[in-house]
Amino acid sequence: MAGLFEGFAYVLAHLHFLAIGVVGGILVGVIPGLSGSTGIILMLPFLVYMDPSSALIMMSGLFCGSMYGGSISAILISTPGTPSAAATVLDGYPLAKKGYAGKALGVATIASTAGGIISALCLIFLAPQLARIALKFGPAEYFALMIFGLTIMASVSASSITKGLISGFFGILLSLVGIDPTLGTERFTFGTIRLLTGFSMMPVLIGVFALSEVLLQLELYSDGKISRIPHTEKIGSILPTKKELRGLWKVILGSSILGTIIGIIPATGGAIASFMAYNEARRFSKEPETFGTGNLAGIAAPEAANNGTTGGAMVPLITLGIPGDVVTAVMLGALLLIGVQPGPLLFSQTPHIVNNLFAGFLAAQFLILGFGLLSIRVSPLILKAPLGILFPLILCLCLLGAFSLGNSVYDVALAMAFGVLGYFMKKHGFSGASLILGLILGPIAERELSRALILSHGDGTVLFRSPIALGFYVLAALSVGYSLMGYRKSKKA
Amino acid sequence: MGRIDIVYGVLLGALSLLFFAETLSFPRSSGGINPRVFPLIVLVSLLGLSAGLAVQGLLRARREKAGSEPTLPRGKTAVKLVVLAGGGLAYALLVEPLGFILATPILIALAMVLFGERKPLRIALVSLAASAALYFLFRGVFRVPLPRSFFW
Repeated sequence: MAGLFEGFAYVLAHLHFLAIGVVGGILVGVIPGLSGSTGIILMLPFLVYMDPSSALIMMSGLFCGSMYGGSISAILISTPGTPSAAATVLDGYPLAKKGYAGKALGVATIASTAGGIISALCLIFLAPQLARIALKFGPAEYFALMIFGLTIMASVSASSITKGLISGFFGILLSLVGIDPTLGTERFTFGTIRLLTGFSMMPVLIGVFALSEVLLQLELYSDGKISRIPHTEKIGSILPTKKELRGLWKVILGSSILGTIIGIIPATGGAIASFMAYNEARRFSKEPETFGTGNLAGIAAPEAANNGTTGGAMVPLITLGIPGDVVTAVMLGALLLIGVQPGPLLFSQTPHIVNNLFAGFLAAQFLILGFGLLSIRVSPLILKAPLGILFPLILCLCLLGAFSLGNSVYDVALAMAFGVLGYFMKKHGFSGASLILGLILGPIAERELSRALILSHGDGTVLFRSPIALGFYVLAALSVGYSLMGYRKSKKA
Repeated sequence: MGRIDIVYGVLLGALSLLFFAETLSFPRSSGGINPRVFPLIVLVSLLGLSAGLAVQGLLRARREKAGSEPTLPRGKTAVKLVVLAGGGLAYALLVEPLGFILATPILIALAMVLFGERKPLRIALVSLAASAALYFLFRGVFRVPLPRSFFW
């Protein structure tokens, strides 16, 4: 607990980084076409020059801020800024059309804050316990855990399980290029000296996530599918009345807990949590018929739930090094770039970083409340940001970001090439998040496999002897089975 | 999506086979571990999945009507996308000989035109101001040695 207080002292001294993260997150969340993952990529060039704790609190502020920011465009222009805010449109936009946009945004802000606080508490109390268990893992357990992590790539795929797995295995294939980690010999370089160092994380991340988005937005713009942001509704009064809040607290509390639990489960995320919470709120409501017409509970439930997933999703990320969704997958890549290796050793070797993260994550929720309420009146202006300036600047920042880490123009060209690849992947239903997961987890899986085999003198059965490892294989099978069922269901529907 | 899946399946299958052939040149065993094992697991999985995707695509293509395929960008849109991607690659090639201060405003101006900006003064001001701000940020604050040319 003393460590946590030291964490709060650190956060207070570095509050500006957290504030930049939260405000940046809200901005990328508000603008349709940008998301938390793009926001982290855009901040990467700056994050690599900061100390790990500051970078980590900035990223967590951005993660939470973007989750909240998505609700603003959902309410004002019926376009969710992020997929997690899709359920907020159902009641948020009808209420805005009635002239109560301010109240809808106010409830979304309060519910998001509550969801974030509950998930932050869960992160603070649950993560150290899980890390303690994970410290007992040997190479065989780690290999099994990585297999489980890699199967998640099938689930985070947008279009089909086959394409999700292909994206992930393609990511692993990319990670194999360069030098064999055990023998030190070159492999898959095809005689090209440039490929000896493999594919660096930074240009791949920037290309697949951010530059591909610039290309997609250009296509949408050119096809006339986006032009100017449409007229936004009047804001009106901001804060809900005490009576309204009294009627909402049960929904907010229940949805926050639901969101947090769903967030811990890998491959779920904010979109699933917000729709589940919306359905539960309607099921338990005394007036379910008013849902869809501007019911405040229909805004509070999805917003509490999607911000609830943030702390939950951080639990497997920092304790096991396994991301649960797209944003945490990008965050994992960013953490490795800034020199932080998530996993149980993070808790024992650098506890101050963990405590700073915990404190920053909790403090971010209060900043969301403050900045959220303050920004409600100016939010229609953010939505009118001219795309003709915004996306060219993002393009430039991305290319500079790719250059900055290794001072190499080769990385700039690589980022652009991966941008084109990411564009086709997104367009044809492959998953960029799976590719990144493969690129990150593949080498760890290979390393742990080699370690396990060396320690057992080449006996492959060592991989299946431990009950923990077997448990992970079962979870991996369940993860693939679950995705397969979900895919079949969606095909039938 | 059927026909495009067949194309992806075949391309990825061919790539996997290329890597597969390369894997067979690795030493068989060294110090108790076989360096071929992990790459082969990955490549066999990728080969199987590519074949699966191609077969799925084939079955879907039979059901789909002609013209229902989600099209690749065409006409003006395709040209714009190629120019933007080409502009990014050209930037990588030219930023060292031209220098950051000269190459960056050109790239921003090009992207602004592609995104529909038509006012020359606005394009000039934004591209120059943004380049100067980024130069200050990366060079001045983060000490990143941005490319400088004979001109700058």
